[in-house]
Amino acid sequence: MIESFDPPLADSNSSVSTLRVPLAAPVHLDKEWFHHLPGPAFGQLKLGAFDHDLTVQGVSEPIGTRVIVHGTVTDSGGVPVKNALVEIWQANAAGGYRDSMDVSGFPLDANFYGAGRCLTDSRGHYRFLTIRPGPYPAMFKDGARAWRASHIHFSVLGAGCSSRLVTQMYFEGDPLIRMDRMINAIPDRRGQERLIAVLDEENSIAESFGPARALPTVDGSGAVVHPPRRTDPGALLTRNPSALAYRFDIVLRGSAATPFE
Amino acid sequence: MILTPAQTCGPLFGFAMTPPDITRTVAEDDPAAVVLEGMVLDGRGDHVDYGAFLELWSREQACRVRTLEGRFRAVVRKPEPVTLPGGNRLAPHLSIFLFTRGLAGPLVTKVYFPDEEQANRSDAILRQVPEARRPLLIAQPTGVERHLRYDIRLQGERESVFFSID
Repeated sequence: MIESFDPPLADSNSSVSTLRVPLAAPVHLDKEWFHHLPGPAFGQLKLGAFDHDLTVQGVSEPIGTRVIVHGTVTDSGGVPVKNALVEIWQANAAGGYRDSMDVSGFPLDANFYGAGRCLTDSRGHYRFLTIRPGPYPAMFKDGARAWRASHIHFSVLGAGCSSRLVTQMYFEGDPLIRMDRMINAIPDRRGQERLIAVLDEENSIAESFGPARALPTVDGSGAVVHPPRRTDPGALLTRNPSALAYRFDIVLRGSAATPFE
Repeated sequence: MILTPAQTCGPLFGFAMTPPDITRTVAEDDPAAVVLEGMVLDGRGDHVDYGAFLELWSREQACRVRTLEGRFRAVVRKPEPVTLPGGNRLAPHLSIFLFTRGLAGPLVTKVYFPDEEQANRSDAILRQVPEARRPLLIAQPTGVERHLRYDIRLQGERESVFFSID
């Protein structure tokens, strides 16, 4: 049985929905009456080798807890969707977006842009390396302000436009989830749980060594210590590879079989 | 199987979702290029604040654009007509998926071409739309060759025709 728990189109928590939700009933069409592309959507989009790694897009590393976000994209029958375009966008660790329309005033990170993309492999698997976004307050209906839980925006283009999905991913154990108005617009707990990535200890990376610091530090007497020349094992690393892994599997509407066969 | 639910795109997607090579399917100086320009308007007739992003699809092309200061601009090829396996004929058109703040999912519409009057008249999708609303799905000539105008109204007297998929 396929179960769908989409929130109402008029996201009741947004101040602008009432002027945006169409009032006429939609005209129903069978999905066969929509276009399918034979290959990945936006075939003209050139994916770079590091587009999936949001931690290497600046001149040095962004601030924040590094996270691997990965999972499998399947259709509603559980069949992996290969060559699906998965895109993400997010705030930095302080809750600021690198967008000209972000008026929050939260600090930007010179080394973090917050956008990534990749294609799923032949097993339907995708993987991003990024930093955990910070929570931030947002404005809701009637001017009410409330904190959003840490979240990553996801866009998934599977096999044809009837399976088109734009959503948001949350982090297991985040206490802000219970008061987040976006995820709570989903009427059923099972639907909400689909959007919560699970901490994945097995795929997390724990390493105690990293490269020499580029900035001065302070020692126990309060004296400033300038970056030393490192001879320990960490000196050979370009960065500390540690990251917490989170597993976020995505189930799309419909069948992936036809257009890809 | 529980499907992954949709969530709104929110207000801040512009920095991420429209890298330059995704906003057209053909070079603008290509003789086959059609420039489609328009606005996305809310129930007051204002352009949607924080903008919207639109995806335009046909069988052989897809692109994504966003509104900037209220206006989007897509450069596409006019698609070929399509005959579905059941024999239904579809005039050249693009499917449009529209995302904007305040909506939890996409709105789905289509855009047809004004110079295809005959094909539009026999188009199987347009024939499912009340006759009075069919013109809302057809782009308008601008007087400039290969430049068309297509506004999307989310509400109001001339509310665009939106589709649901089974």
